Amino acid sequence: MITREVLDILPETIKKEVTGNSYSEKIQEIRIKVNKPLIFVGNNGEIKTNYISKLDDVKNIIQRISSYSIYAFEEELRQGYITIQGGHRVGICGTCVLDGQTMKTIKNISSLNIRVAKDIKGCADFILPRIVKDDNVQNTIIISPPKCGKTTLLRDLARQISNGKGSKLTGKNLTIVDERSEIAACYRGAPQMDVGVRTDVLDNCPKSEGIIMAIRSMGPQVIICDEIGTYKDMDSIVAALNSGVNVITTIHGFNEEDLFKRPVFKEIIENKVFKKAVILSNRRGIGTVEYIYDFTNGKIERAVEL
Amino acid sequence: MIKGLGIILIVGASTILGFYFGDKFKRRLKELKELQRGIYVLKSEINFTRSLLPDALEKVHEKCDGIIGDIFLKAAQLLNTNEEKDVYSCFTQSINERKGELSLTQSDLGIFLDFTKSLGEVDILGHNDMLGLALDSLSKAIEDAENNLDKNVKMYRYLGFSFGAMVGIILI
Repeated sequence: MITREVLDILPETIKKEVTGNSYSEKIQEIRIKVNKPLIFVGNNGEIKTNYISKLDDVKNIIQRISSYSIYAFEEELRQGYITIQGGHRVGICGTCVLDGQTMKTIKNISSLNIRVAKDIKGCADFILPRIVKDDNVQNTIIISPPKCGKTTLLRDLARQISNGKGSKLTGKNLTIVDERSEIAACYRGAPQMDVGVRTDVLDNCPKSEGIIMAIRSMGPQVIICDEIGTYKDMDSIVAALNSGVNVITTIHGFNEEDLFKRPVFKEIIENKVFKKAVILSNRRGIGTVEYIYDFTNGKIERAVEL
Repeated sequence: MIKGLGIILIVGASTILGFYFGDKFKRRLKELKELQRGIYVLKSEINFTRSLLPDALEKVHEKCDGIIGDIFLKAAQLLNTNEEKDVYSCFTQSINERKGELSLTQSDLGIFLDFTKSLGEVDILGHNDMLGLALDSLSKAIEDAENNLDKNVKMYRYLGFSFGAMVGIILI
């Protein structure tokens, strides 16, 4: 659903296109490319409009999302996106400027992809009781291909674990290490999504450093982070476990075999660091839980659609 | 009696006029120094806290007195509307609204407006260079204003009184 925050960053011409149609409620992405038709992406595919976006439209949006302060978004530009109020994310493409081998900034910005953020409260209802044992959150890894709802699920897990769920689960101190500002969708440091009352967010922070920082400074009982995959990430996860902190994280993949195949995960698999793996797909729509794999006994629990 | 009163009035009015024109040099110096202080605050807001430009300009307003502070605040308000084309047009509009009250010269305003042309559109290093250049130019303008102050304030005051006295003598 297009919110006021998204409309506020759009120039009048594009705003008219967005609001003046019947499908505006279903828009998930607005794709703007210089001299190309404006495209909306919704649940049921894309809609190509007759409006041809201009360079001024792109410039105008960039000025609005950065509050005329592009210098304050150098790090975000390096990563190719800026998160706006409401947690919506604007992906940016143009000419990349390199400083040696590292990305410095993007100039000649020519296309934007505005992704509308949304909370799906309750999408973790099925999974939560299966990863909680005796009021303890078990170390869990969520495995799924892109666009299958990993981050949305992670966000709802964070909210429910942090708030607690009656007598079955008391609220836990939780830290989200949000390297790409996707889980809590922070804007000026404040989470724009409901991630729970006991949740602290380390925004824009590398996972390996963030996990250690959180353990030292915030005393979390649970740490949540997205898309692990380097040896440094594994070291910090092991450090968290050694400190008695439970971890919920995600990786890109199709099933637990992807975890077994990749050498980087060898050590944590051998040491049975993770107790549960949640396998997601979009077979019956985004967020389909295929099954939950139990690392301790190799059992699979089939699931239903979220 | 009436003649005497008229002469006193003329001498008094021309002396006040002399003081007013003399004080314009003082006001220019004060405004230049406020502007210099504002740019220093802006530089540190951009460099160290990476504040968004509207927030940084509001901070400048808090730290600067008088019209100069108000100009920064108005520019921040215009930026917050998200309707303006760029930062330069916000400052141009903001300055134009208060131009009648300013004692800055056209060249001083040129220094002010020049640095706003790329404000917010370049990286931190670019801002450092740009604001550094503006501060250098302002230092020279302040030096010039101080020289003019020494030379002209007394001159205008004496001139005002002398002109009034001269008219008075002619009338006698």
